[in-house]
Amino acid sequence: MNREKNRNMDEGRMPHHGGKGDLLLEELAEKGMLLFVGSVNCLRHKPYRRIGVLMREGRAALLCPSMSDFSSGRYLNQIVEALAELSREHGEKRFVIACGCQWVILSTDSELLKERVKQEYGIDLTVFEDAHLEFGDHE
Amino acid sequence: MKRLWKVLPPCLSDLMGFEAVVNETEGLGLIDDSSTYKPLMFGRGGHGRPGMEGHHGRPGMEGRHGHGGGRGGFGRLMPGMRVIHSDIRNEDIITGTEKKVMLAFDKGVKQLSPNFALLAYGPSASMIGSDLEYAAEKITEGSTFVQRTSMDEPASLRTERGGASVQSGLPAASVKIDGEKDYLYGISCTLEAMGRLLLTPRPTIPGSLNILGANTIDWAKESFADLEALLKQEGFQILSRWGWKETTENLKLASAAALNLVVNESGLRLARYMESEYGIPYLAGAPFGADFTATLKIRLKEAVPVTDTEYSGEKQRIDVDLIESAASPNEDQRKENDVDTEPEILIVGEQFTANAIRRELLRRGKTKIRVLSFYDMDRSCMETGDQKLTGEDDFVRQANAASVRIICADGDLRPLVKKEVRWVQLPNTGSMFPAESMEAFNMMGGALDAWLDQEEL
Repeated sequence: MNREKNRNMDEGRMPHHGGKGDLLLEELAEKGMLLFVGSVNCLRHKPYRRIGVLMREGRAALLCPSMSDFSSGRYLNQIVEALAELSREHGEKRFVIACGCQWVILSTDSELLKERVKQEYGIDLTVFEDAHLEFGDHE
Repeated sequence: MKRLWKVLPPCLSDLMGFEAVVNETEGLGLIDDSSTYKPLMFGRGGHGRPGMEGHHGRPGMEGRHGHGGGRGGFGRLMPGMRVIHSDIRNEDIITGTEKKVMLAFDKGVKQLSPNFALLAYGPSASMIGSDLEYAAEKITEGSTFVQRTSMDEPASLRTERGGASVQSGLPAASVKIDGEKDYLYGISCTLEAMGRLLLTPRPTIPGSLNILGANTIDWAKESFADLEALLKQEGFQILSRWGWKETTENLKLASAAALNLVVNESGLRLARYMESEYGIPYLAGAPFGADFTATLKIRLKEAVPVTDTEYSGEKQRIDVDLIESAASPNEDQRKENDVDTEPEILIVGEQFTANAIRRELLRRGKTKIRVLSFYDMDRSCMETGDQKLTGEDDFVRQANAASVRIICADGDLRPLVKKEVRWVQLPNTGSMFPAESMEAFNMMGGALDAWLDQEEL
């Protein structure tokens, strides 16, 4: 189970596909500070149940762009700006992005984003491009 | 930066506000989304909030009822739920969600036997531009998605094609919310959509009124019971309750009311619609505080004659701000509060409740009070210096001003204040994952005064 979970994470997918997802955020947050990017409504799903605790511990933050931010592409700059601000305030260089469905629908180029934040801010970014509409993160 | 939340946990979304309203009706709510919406269960024998399992809330509903799975199709509904989802998948993002919406609607009708339906957008459906307005039209006409290509089929027939049938003639409408905004906005838009869908012109019933905006997230059930008792004691006939438990029959009666009493910010959209469409005036303000309740009774009597002999047949025009402007004990204090100086007291929360607390504090001689909110706010009910907060930075700027001495707010905001202040904890029922849950409590009439006494304010 753990091996499968780790493989999923290494491949940039959500662990616990089809499972309970209880420990999801803790696992992600071990890889760096967590930034959730999506609608506030998406946080109702079970894997995000501990997002409030992680926020209080300074291990997670939320970026909730508007629909027009997404459709205009502004969200990409907002992500970079948010990562830079969090990095500055927390002295953190490792970040993990967990995303809502918008990310997938818009075919966001995660590799380009990773390169950009590495070049501009020295940030190592992991993006979990979850198959958001298919698997267990919606439990 | 705007839209970045580093400390404050997320609030309930507009779709959760939609859920809170629809679950109290005899209608059906359908969200074009990929997974189940679970009960919110606030304050009414509450079960904790979504995601509170094993923390301050009770264990997850799905564990106790054994049928809460998010995926795997449209199963049995959890108790109290009247909101279903369309169960869309990746492929529907390409082909459109209409077929799934109709299939889900059909199953929902069979389970719930609703007498109206409201459709709302999940974030993904909104992103791809799903047309729920069209779907609502088809539901109302009694046709199906298939009939886009076979328009000559009689609309009154129940059709059965591709596994989807749609009950004929069920009133349906779409609500333009998509999970992006806060729950109050969701409640507000849902109530307005219900009003537009269900109301038709009716002759006015003297001495009657509707209660708009009291909702199960912000309002304690004791507050609502006390409000109803007060209105009945004063001789008013309550035709309908918008946001609270109510039958469709009563909701439809609402256009016969002589007055709307708006007790929460979320009722204002509907009140304005009913004023413009049916000429029903409204009074706005949460009836909290003994002093204010006394004022309310007088204003209601003036606005709504309770006997036929007093009733002229004409609905009176009432200044929207009537109650709010009557709130401050005297004009001097009100002016002092409006002076462009730094605030001393900040109240952060649902606008009408926060306004009620301010009114009482002003009466007690406090001044320089500002109301702030992360939720939907209405300009007409704002005083100078009040602010709709668009992010944590806005709050940080206000709360850390040198003049601020007292903050009444959700305790989760406290880490953002870097100075000594007196903190008065307010209910945080609008927060999805509060560190410490504080349910809404009774503020009706003198209950607010008693609480302020207890807090030594």
